[in-house]
Amino acid sequence: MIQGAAGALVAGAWLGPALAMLVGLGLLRLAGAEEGFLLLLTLVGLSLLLGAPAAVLAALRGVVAAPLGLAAGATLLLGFLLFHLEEVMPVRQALPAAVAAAALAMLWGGLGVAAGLGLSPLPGIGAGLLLAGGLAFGLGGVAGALWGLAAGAALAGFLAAVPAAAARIRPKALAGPAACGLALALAVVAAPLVALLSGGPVMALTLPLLVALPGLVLVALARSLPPFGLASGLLVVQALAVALGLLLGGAPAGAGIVMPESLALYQMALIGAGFLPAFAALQAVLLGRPAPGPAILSALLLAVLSAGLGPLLTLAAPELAAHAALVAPLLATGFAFWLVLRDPEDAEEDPA
Amino acid sequence: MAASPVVERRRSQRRGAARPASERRGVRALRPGEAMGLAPLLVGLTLTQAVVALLLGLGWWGAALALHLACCLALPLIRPILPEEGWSGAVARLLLALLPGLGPLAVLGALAALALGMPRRLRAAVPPLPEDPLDARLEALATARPGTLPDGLLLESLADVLRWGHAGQKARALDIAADPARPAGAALLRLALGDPDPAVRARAEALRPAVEQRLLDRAEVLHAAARGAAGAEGLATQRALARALDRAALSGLLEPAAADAARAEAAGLWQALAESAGPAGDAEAEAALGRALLALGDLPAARLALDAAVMRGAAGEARLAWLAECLFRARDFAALEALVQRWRPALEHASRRGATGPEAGAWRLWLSATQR
Repeated sequence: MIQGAAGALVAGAWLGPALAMLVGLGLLRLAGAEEGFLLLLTLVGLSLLLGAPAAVLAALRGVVAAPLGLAAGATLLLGFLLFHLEEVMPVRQALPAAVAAAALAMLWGGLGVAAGLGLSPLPGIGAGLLLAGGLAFGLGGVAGALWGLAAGAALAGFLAAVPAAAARIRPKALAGPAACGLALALAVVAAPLVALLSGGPVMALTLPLLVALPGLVLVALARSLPPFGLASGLLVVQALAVALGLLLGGAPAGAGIVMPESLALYQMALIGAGFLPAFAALQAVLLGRPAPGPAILSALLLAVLSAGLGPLLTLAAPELAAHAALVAPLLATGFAFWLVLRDPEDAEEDPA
Repeated sequence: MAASPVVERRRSQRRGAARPASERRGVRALRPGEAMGLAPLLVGLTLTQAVVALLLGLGWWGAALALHLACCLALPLIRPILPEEGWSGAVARLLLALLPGLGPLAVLGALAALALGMPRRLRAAVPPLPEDPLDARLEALATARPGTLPDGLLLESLADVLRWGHAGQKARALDIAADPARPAGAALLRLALGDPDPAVRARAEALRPAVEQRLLDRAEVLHAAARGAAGAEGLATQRALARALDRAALSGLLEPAAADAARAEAAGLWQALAESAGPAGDAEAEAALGRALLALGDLPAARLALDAAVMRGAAGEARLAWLAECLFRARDFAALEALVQRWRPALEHASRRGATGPEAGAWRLWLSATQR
């Protein structure tokens, strides 16, 4: 098994989509397109749902070509069906959107195996960004931005994935890591997806994730994970970030990004996002274990709570509905903490 | 004296001890691979996908889809001709996997990967050896350069695979044994011809004619060389010819008549060499002559030659074993007992060392019998 990739995989599940969204928005702006946030959110979410199982599989078991090919092909088909037939987009936009989703699905796998091999993906990402910017600027429009995103992601993903294909690591059991990847992807997309499907406040739930990015970067860079020490440290760091976010108060509402009536939900989500890096650190410890059960369980719990707690509280006690955004990551972090605690070997501090 | 690393490794393998993880995960250089094998394929795919991209740009969606699908349908035909190893092989495998989903973008990535080449940090990294010890042993044997591996170690390792491996491992062991660059491996085919698995026997039978021909060809080449040589060079060529004939005769792969003919000719050559050695004698020639005569059934002459070889100094366990067999077949048990008593210290030392030759059991039996 490739060692040391667990932190990058788990933190990357939040970092990758967030950065892809930022790059996509930048490309849309560069191409002169005004709209496209929801389209980007959908295609990035789709790429994560189909790409994360392949990425975890590739990083933990070393099988690269077949899972990435399968993920890219399936994402292309599903994406085209979704965008062209369901969303009734013209082919000239639906096709690049589907190809961009497929390229992103492949990119997650490439980044995962690059982390596993300890290789830097930055040269590939740099080349991809240049290509994406050039295409978006040259072609223009939403389709141009999407072709740019697709080309950049494909280039960066291919360059990141080839070294692992060259290493030809022997595959072992495949079902566990793939299930871990799917559970992780569900945990990441659950809350925005439910908000998107139910017409809820998507921005109030997705924007607070930016607060968690510094902590997630720390988890991604940690090559050995002393779970409790790191998680405690991250909670302190994140508490400061959350306090800063709360101090800013209604600034997003003032800027028109968040609806004033969703401000309470936004603030709860901001505090809840502070727990995500700690959850990711504990989840990485679980992912590094030989048995995949605990890692799947804790990620699924976060997914279920993120997706179901809000609607449930809205039905039972509408005045408490906003608290779901805080309670879901809090409970999931506690559960992951308990799962890690059950194994004394993992629970010990890193001797280094 | 400390044992050499090779001996230590053999002992460790014999004991079945697991090698430390650091050694199992040891690194060796990856072969960069030849990009030339990939070039025609890449040019074809690049041109096709460039047309696909052009059609997409023109908005001819149906034509682009049809051409892309045709390209995808051709991929299974391309797969068998791809390079297996190295950077270009990895690029090709990934390209073929991603082409259906990414189309021209996959070709773009492949071109960039080939242009940039293998990352420096990866050049020294390869996957760990297979977890199955027999697979790991076969892998190590296959990657060892011919000539760097002692014949005995090669034979012992491959024989272990034939003894304990599954059908696939046995087939691979036979392929290694039949490699012309590893002449010692021929002796393994005899073992494989008696394998209980019919598939292994069939594989060995299929490899046998080529190995047999190689042994005879080698002798034929030396025959030609011996005809034109004289003096010291002639003696050296005669010795090489006699060794080659011995190897062919003892391989167990020749037809019985051909093997007997090779043995008889080798005996003549060894006798000539022994006679030309003068008073100092030639222990190798005498021992080989004795072995050949023993195999031909001339026991008195074999005994004379082997006695001379053993008494000349460096007896060696093998020569003692041939002499003991000769005495046993001649029913001269008193001489056999005297032989055991004469060489008891050397034989006991070999027994303590855990010698594992075919005669080891017989020696232990005779040692205990003569003690009583």
